[in-house]
Amino acid sequence: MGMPIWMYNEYVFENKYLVLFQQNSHDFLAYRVRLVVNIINQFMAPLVIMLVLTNLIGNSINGMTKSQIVNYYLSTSILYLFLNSKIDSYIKEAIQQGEISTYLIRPINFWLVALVKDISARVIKLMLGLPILVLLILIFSMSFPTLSPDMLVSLLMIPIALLLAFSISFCVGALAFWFEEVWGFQNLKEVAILLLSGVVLPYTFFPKILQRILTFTPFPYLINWPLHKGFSGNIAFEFSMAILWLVLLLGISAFMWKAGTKRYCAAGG
Amino acid sequence: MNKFKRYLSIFYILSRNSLSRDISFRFSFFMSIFGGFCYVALNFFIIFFLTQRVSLFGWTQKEMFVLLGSFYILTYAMFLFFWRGFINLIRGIRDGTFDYYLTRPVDSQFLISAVGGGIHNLLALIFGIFVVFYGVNLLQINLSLFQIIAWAFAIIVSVVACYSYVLLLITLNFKYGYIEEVLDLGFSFQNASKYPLDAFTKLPIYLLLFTLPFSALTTIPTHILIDTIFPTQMFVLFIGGSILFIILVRLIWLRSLKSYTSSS
Repeated sequence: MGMPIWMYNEYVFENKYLVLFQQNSHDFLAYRVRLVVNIINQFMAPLVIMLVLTNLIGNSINGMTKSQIVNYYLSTSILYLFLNSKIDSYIKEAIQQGEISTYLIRPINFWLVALVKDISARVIKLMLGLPILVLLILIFSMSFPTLSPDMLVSLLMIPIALLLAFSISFCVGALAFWFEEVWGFQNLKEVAILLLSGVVLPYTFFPKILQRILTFTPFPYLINWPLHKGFSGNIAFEFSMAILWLVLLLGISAFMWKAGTKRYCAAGG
Repeated sequence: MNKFKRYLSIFYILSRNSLSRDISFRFSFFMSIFGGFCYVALNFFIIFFLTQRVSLFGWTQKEMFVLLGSFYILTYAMFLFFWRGFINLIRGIRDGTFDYYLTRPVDSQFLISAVGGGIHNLLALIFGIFVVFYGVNLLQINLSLFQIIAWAFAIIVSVVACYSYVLLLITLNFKYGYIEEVLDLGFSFQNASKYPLDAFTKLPIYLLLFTLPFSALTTIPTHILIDTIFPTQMFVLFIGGSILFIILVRLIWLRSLKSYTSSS
C-alpha cells in the first residue's frame, strides 16, 4: 500500500527544498522564449565546430569517422546543457545585491538553496533541450542511442559530474565575497570547461602529455565522462579522481562560504 | 556638415564618459582585461590544436593565424564599441528607459550605438592586429599600401555588418519582450567567423544562413592580405552585400520602433 495522497501532499509541501524546486521551475518557465534562446545558445559552441569538422575532406578526421564526430558533438551538447552549472551568476548577484541576507536569517541552508536552483534550471533546460537534440539527430541522420548495461555505470557518473560542476561554480560565485567583480573568474571557468572538458574539441586533438595531465584534473569528469568512461584506461582510477576532486571542492566551497559570510556586510550593516 | 559635427561631438562626449567610468574601478578594469583574454586564449588553442592535427580546407596554420587575428579584431571591436549600448537597449526596452533615447533630438540608433562597450577590449583588439601581421610575416608576404587600406576598409565594413546582425537579433525584444540572451546568441553565431568560408560551403541552406555570412566577415579581409592576386570580385560583392544588409537592418530598426510600447 502506498502513501495516501493527502499525506503525500503534506510531505511535498512541507519540504521547503521541494517547494523551492517547484518555484524555481515555474520561474524559469515564465520566460519561455528566453529559455529556448538560452538553450540554442548552449548548443552553438560544439555545433559550429562539428559542422567544420564534418565538412573536412576525407572519411577519417584525426582517427574519428564523420559519424563518430557527429555522435560525439551531439552527445556532448546535451551533456553540456545538463551538466554545466551557471549557478556562479546567481551566487554572485545574491552576494552583491544582498539577497543572501534573507537566507542567513532563516533556518535554511544556502548551499542547498543554490543546489536546488541549479538542478531545477538544468532539468528544465534538459527537458527543452531534448526536442532540439532529437531534431538534430534527425537532421544529421544519426541513430538513436540504445539502452545497454554500460549505461548504468554512466548513470552513476552523472550525479558526481553534476556535483563537481556545481561545486566549481559555487566557489567561483563565492569569490564575490572578496572581489567587486568576478566576471573575469567566471570567464576563466567557462573557457576552461569548454576547452579542457572536451566540449569544443575531443581529447584526441590534444597532445598526449596534455591528455595524461588532464586525467589528474577535475575537467574530464565534468561533462563528457559518462559517455567516455575509461578514457584513461582505468575506470577505477577515474572514479577515485572524480570523488577526490568532489570531496576537495565541496570542502573548499564550505570553507569559502564560512569565511565569506564572516566578511559579508549587507546594506545597513 | 553641421549635423555631422554635432554627432561627432556627441560621440566624443559619450566615449569620454564611458572611458572615465571604465577606469574608475581599477581592479574591475584589470579583471575585465583578464576575462577578455580568456576567450582570446580559448580561440587560439582551438585553432592551434586543430591545425596541428588536420588540414583546414587547404588553409595553412600561418594563414589561419591571419584569419584568427581578423576574428579577434572583429570580436573585440564589437565589444569595444557596441556591447554596453546593446545591453542598455535590451534593458531599456524591458523597463521603459528606452524612452530616454527616443525623446532626445538625436537619432535613437546612433545614441544607443555610441554608448561604447568597455575600453578593456582595446588590448585584445590590438593583440588581434598583432596576430594578423605576425601571420603575414610568417607567410613572408610583402604587403602593399593598397592591400592594407583595402583590408582595413573591409574590416570596418565587417564590424558594421556584424553590428547590424546583432541589432537585428535585438529587435526581437520589441516584438517578443525581454530576451537578453539574443546578445549571447549573436556572439555564438559570430564564432563561426574564426573558420574559413570553405568550412561551410557544403552545408544545407538553413544552416548556411547562420554560418556563411559570419565567416565571410573575416575570410574576405584575410584573402585581401594573403592572396597574391587581389580578389576584386569577392571584395566588391562583399562590400555591396554588406552595405545592402546594413541598410535593410536600419529599415527594420525604424519599423521595430513602432512596436515599442514604453513601460506603461
